[in-house]
Amino acid sequence: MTLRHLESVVRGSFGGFGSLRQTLTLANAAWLTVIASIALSLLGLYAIDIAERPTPVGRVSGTSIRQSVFLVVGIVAACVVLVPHYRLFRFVAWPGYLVCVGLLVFLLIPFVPESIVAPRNGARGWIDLGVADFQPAEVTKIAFVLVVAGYLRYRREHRELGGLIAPGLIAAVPVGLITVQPDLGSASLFVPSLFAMLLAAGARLRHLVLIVIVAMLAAPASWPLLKPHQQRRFVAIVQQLRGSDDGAQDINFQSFTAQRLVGAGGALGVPDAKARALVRANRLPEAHNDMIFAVITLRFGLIGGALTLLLYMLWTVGALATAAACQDPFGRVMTVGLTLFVAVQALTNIGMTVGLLPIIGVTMPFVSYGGSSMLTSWLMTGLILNAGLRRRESPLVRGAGDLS
Amino acid sequence: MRRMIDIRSAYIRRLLLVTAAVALGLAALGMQAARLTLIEGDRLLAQAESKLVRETWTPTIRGRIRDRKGRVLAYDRPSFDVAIDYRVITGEWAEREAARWARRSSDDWSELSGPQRRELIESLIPEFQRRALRTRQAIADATGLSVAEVDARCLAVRDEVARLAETVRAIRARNELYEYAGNLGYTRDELATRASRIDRPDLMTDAARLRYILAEEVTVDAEDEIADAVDRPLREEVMPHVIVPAVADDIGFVLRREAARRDPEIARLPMYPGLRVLDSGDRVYPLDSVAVGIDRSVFPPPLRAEGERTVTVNGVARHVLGSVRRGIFAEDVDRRAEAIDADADLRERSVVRVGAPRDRGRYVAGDIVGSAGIERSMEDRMRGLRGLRVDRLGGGEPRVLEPSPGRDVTLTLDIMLQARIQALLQPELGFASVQPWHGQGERADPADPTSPLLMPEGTRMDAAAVVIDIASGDLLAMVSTPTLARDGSDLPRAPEARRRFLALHRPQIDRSVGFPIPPGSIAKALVLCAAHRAGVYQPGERISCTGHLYENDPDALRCWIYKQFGTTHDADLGAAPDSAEALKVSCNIFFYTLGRRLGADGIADAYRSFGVGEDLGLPLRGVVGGWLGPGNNPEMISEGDAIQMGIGQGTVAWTPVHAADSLATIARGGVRLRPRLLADDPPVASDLSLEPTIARSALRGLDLAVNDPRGTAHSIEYDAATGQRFNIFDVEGVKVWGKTGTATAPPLTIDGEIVRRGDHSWFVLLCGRERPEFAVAVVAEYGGSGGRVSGPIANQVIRALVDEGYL
Repeated sequence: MTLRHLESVVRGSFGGFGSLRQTLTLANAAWLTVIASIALSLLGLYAIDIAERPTPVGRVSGTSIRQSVFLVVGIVAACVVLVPHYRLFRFVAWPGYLVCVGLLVFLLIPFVPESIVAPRNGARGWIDLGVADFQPAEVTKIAFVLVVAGYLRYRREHRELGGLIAPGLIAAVPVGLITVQPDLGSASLFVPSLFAMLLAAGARLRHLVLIVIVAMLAAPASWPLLKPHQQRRFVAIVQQLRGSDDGAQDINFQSFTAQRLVGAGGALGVPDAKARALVRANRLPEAHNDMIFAVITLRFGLIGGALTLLLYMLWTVGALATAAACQDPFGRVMTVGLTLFVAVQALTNIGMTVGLLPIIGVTMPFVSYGGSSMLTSWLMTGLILNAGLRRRESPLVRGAGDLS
Repeated sequence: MRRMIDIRSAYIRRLLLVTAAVALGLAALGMQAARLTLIEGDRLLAQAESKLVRETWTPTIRGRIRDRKGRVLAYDRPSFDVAIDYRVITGEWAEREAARWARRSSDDWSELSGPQRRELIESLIPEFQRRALRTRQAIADATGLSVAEVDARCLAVRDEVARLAETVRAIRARNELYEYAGNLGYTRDELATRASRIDRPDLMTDAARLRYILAEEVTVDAEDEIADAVDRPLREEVMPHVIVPAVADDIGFVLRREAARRDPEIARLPMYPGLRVLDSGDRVYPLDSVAVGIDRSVFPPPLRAEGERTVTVNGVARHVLGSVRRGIFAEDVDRRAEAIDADADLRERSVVRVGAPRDRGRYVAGDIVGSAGIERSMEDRMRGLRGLRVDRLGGGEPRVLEPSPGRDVTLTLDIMLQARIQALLQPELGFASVQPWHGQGERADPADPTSPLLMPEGTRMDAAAVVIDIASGDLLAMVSTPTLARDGSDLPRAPEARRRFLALHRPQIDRSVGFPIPPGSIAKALVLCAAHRAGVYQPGERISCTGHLYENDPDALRCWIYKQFGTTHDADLGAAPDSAEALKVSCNIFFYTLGRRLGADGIADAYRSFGVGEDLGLPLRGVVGGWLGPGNNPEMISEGDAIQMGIGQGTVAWTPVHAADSLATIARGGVRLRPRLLADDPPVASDLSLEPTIARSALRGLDLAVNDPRGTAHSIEYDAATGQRFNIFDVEGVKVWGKTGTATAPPLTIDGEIVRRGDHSWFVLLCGRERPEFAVAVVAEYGGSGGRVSGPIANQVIRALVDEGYL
């Protein structure tokens, strides 16, 4: 590949007008997401070490070391996806989507040896790659966003109720496959992202509201379809929100323990050594993973917790400002879709940690331990920065996504 | 050109909407976090910190039991139990470690197929089984057991836990199904009734029957859930089990050090998987078995022999000391809680506040608990209090509360006197086995003089002896035979012989205080004093012995002299006997008369004032307060009963402690000191207000009975052919006041066959250098004549008092 080719890739157009200078701009809001991502990732490394290492003395936990490797891989991956103009991802969207769906189907094939697909907590969601386990549902999120963004780019059908069916089907396939793993948490993240993308692409708000109302009315009918453990979690959260201590030792143990540690942080948090001891002594399940927010608040108190929330806000604002600045319909929809994945995932994770939502096993983006999660989060940051780095297109390019 | 970001654009408004929604969500989380940290923060921090506290209870020891001279009769010896973790015993450990090792050590684990992985794991299992065997080998080496024996014990543990698990799981399955069915709207009763009606013998358990009833109603998921709940491991399935209990300190130390060693090849693993050395303790009774030297040269002529004989007695004072068991019952826990509630002093000592108030002496599995005797009654006093060490994981000084051993209990018994008397009652010395001169002639069929003797020569007699210190009321000895060794080695081995032995001799009974029998003539001194106190007899009054109480009925209420020799005491003595003479010759007519004069209420009062029918207040279970009146109801005593009770027969019964106590009371001139067994019990005194004259004349009668050649307790003819006699009491320098007694006994039957018949043989006495210092009561069950059987034993008790330095 010659430099010329590379430039074309970066510019996203072959031949024609323009230069790198015309295409790229360094001054853009997407840097906010990068800053937030870095801050959250580093916070995560420290919090994981607290969760994994009982005392400050001794070597850094293996888990933190692995996580820092994941972080480097994630940043490198983010840099890689910066290079081609985001428009070009449109062309790999459908193939990527189909590969992801293929992987999701593969996960569900019975008799795949446990050496390849080992169920965790009963869910068939991971493929054993030897060095690390890979969670196809994570990268499916990106492929899904790219496909939907590509689909909605120049269309207007979705402004009618009937036109929502096709994007709905695009979402339904991975959502269905992930739900039966079963991983209700990951599956449920697709819906807000889809809605936000539809909204950004100009779907009518009242249609979306209608769908939400219908879904809420229909929700009780899906109760029998839930697995017993999923039903129990809902019962548990209702129990908890009503202020009952009933399940503190069993079904609500994880939630109560997480809340206890969140609260134990107080306003300013507890010293490092004490935080480590408290996490260990209280036996917080999944402390380094789904429940990492409790560790952060325990260590840094409400200040730290609020700062974490603000970092997510910063990330969201940066991402949505990028979307606002973007003139390309594909870029807009893509950015909004990715934003919502991260934002809703953070909201859900922290919501379940502080006892407002049922525990459905969703990681905290950038912070929770996990390679797939880290990689996906950073890919998303990379794609958003990618959109931010590209200058507005010439006014010649007009799309259906342009509502103005 | 449009502005870069146009607020008015619908797209931008929508983005703002999305931003607002996210901000709102984050704000909600922030508020919840603020609520948890700021409002609930202190409470939650306290809760979280409470988990930082690690409490370790340290073992304690039980108080000792000592005798009056400070000799230790029971103490706790700290020791160690050697245990193996159940998972190592079952092999579960080996499999788990093999799987772990396979995963870690194999480079291409991720490329192996399931069966290949299984194969790899299987190939590694023997390696870890070999490690598990090291544990059993180490235990065998240290304790001297064979590996086969250790293996057998492991197997026994495994079987026992498996049985337990089966029972528990059956109950769990039943309860889970009940609960599940409850959600479906069934009631428990309804299901239980239906389950009991199913005619399916193949459905062995309740759970199987319930499962059968519910059939399709149990969904596959519910089935899984129930199975999960049922299969939860039992505590017993994940804890160490004792393989060798109570090993010596040195073995315990060695094994404890070994248990800490790491495997040289896999540092993560211990050298001896599952090996645990648990602190325990065993109760030791150091004077349980005592060898006593008995000088047979001072025995009565028919038993006399040269030199000293060493008699080993087992289970010395076992009835009094009682025993302990290891293992806690729900009642123990409840009783302890009640005791803590009721006793402020105990509460003060025992309860410590660490978070919630906790009883440092509370029972936990494996504790030693008193189950009989003093060990049982003094449980709260002797129970030690555990120490507590509270560590804070976050740092800070640990809080340490030292364990405090239980308090000692000091008995009034003199254990060497006790052992000496117990030795005297061993059949091998002859006093407590049938001798030709005992006059034992009871036959299987009394009407047939050729039928076999029930107790031929040499037959062992069960007996009891009690010694009371008159000045203090202290019980110096309370012996009951047979007393068996604690390890049961005295019992016959063969089951049938053992059963017969237990039925015939009832070794569990403490005859000194737990088996009331009629007093017979030994009550006569008591009746005399009571009659005077009631104003129905004046000193000096003579009562004529006419052979039978009723002039016209020579076959009822006869005097023994009339029954045996056809004469009367009037004729024998040359005059009607006064009180002292009546005691000397044990005249029945005299005391029948006093009984008749006292009447039903008077005779009941007489016995009651000497402690019969009241709680003796001794800290022993199975202590009988005596027996007064038909069905132990003094109200029911008739005039006829009163006459019988005048000579200690009929509806009255007491124990050797009562007997010695009554004589001690007379010796004190009517001051009753309740017999004591605990040295620190305050004396409980009551005054019967006897006039000194009557107490003196009672003592004079007891003196004559022993020391006058015509007295019933003076001498025994031991050779009918030569007419040779020996004096019952012959201890130099010791004066004796005594009374014989022969109490009618109901026949004893085993399996419908009469094995014992006749009379119990009593002897009570006072003895001292100048004045009465000790009261002694001896009874030999079915021994026959009081003077012939119990008298010589009582004389040897006096000798024992001399040997132990009391006289």
